[in-house]
Amino acid sequence: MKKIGTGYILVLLGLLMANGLFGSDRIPVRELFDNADRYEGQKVTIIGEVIGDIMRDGKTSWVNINDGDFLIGAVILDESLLGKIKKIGRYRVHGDTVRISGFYQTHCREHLGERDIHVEALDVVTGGYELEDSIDLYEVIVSILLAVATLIFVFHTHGRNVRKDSAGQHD
Amino acid sequence: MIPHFSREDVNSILHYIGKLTHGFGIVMIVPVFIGILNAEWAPCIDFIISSLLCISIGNLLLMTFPLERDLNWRQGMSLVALSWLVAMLLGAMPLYLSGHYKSYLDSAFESMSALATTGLVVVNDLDHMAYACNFWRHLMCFIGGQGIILVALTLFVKGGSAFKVYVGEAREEKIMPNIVQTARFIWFVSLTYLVIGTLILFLINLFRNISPGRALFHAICLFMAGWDTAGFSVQSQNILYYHSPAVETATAMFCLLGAVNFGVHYAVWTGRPKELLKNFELKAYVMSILVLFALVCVGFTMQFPFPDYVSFFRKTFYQLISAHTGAGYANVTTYHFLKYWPPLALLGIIMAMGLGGSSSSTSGGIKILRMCLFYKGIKKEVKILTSPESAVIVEKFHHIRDVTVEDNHIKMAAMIILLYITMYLIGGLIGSFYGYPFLSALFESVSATANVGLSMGITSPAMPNGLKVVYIIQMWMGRLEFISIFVMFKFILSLKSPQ
Repeated sequence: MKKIGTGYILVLLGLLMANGLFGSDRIPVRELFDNADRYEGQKVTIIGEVIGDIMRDGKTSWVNINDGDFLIGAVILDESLLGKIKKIGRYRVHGDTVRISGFYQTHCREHLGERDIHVEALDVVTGGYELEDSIDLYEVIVSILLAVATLIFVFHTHGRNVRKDSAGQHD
Repeated sequence: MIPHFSREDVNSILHYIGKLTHGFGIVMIVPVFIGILNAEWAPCIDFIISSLLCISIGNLLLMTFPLERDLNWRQGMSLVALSWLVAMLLGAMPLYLSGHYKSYLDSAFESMSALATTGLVVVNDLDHMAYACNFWRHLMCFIGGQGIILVALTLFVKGGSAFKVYVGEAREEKIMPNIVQTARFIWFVSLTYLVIGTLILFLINLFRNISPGRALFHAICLFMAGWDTAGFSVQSQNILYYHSPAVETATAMFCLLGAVNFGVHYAVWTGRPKELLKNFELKAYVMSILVLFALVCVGFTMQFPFPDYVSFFRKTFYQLISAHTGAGYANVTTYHFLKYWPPLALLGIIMAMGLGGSSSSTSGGIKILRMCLFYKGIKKEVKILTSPESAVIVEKFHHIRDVTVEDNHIKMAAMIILLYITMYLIGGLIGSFYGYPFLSALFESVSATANVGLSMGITSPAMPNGLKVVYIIQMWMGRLEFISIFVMFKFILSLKSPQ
């Protein structure tokens, strides 16, 4: 719980810093959803964490960007831009926070109606990092106690069944 | 006079609850292995604690409440209803310990959503969840889709008790003469498709350059949630995450397979493929998909946001299949529903969700067979009224075998249809009471009761706790199709009232 809480704070701090450092041209993904008509076909800039996987369809690559509230798919054609991404967000990994600029489409004709951003520029704002898998000592003690209790139950039940069986045979 | 429940009833029910709890503890060991493979030590401890706690409680119940005789009908029905609540609470344990849920209520909501194969989610930061925990979410979908009791049937329940609990879990047909054989056949079919489906999705993922380990993980999880029409996904964007028509086609096929009656699967597997063309329920299902898609198309004539018809077909037909099979996979965002779907198209999706898939399948909702029976019942009544008084009117249809429509079939079908519609409306009204627009509230209510999982944005960690409880009840009642739950309430009331 603590680990995830710390993770959240770091993500938020990273995003806040990124916003401050790279100016106010950054648009929240929610804003793209809410006012899609205004941004349709326009060049937009978003900042967020790269999560999941980089998926390729021929020369096209897809990455998903999480700006802290919402996610959006980004289409990248330039291999050199992809090469900038070093860490992708997963369990125990906070992915690179990137600033991407590109053309937004609510229903992209080229990609069969996907909502996407065709990326033209990508910069890593803050590099990703790995989190430690901290084990709670209290949880370890509880699991040992439960293991002992389970073993006692199993042996007790087994003993009772053996006694029953032998009593049945005597009858 | 209806007999009151006795101490013997309580003993029998709690004995089997003990077996279920024990079994759940053993199943929880599977995610421990996933955790070990990925060096996720903290989640491993969470699962070890949960597993040991389940095994201990199960043993305690088994020792305290010895089984005296086979279950009777009321015990069987009450056991099923209670089992699902117990399973929800047990399944929620490792989820809660993961720290991805705001409260135990949220983890219980997710657990019921997985077990009832609904697919509504209240998880926080799913994209950073441990593999072990994410696998558990999907494994619960697989267990719940098969039926918790069906799982138990193949392992623990013997003798005459088996059929009583099988029926209680909203499955009626005996595909094979023996109910345990039927349960094993369902497992055999599901596991065979699991291998085939996982392989197909694995290859698609691999082809898209996803690393082999993650490709396999995504493939297994997606198949389990698709086949069992649960609609959970590994990532928070659901199917939208993949941006892939290939993944969408594969998952739609698996959802459709899961929504077909296991009796039809059996017929095809045993060399009777003509059943596919003759089966009345299947023909009605195809007809229903076409009619409702036509409704969605008409809806979009008012407002067409897509750039071309291919994009339109991809997004809308997938959503319709997802709704009609009860899967709830989404290749559009909730915002898309809110902003771009005209009310008539949304009505088509709501109707598809409400109707659901075939009887004795993994999908929820009213079920097509009941609609067929209802239709045949009306047809029979019209024929009776328009024929000479001496005429004997017989209505028949083909469903695995030739079935003669009897009055009790129609009565039962009409009663369940009415209960579902009532539950859909009650949930919708409660949603409106909480301040949500009625159409969105109705959408969410139908989605919860019919165990679909599509959302118009109401379901989230931030929604009111009262509404979470309402949706849990709807998912539970919808999955078990009401009757066993009514028997359980009768049981609880009879315990309180004097003999």
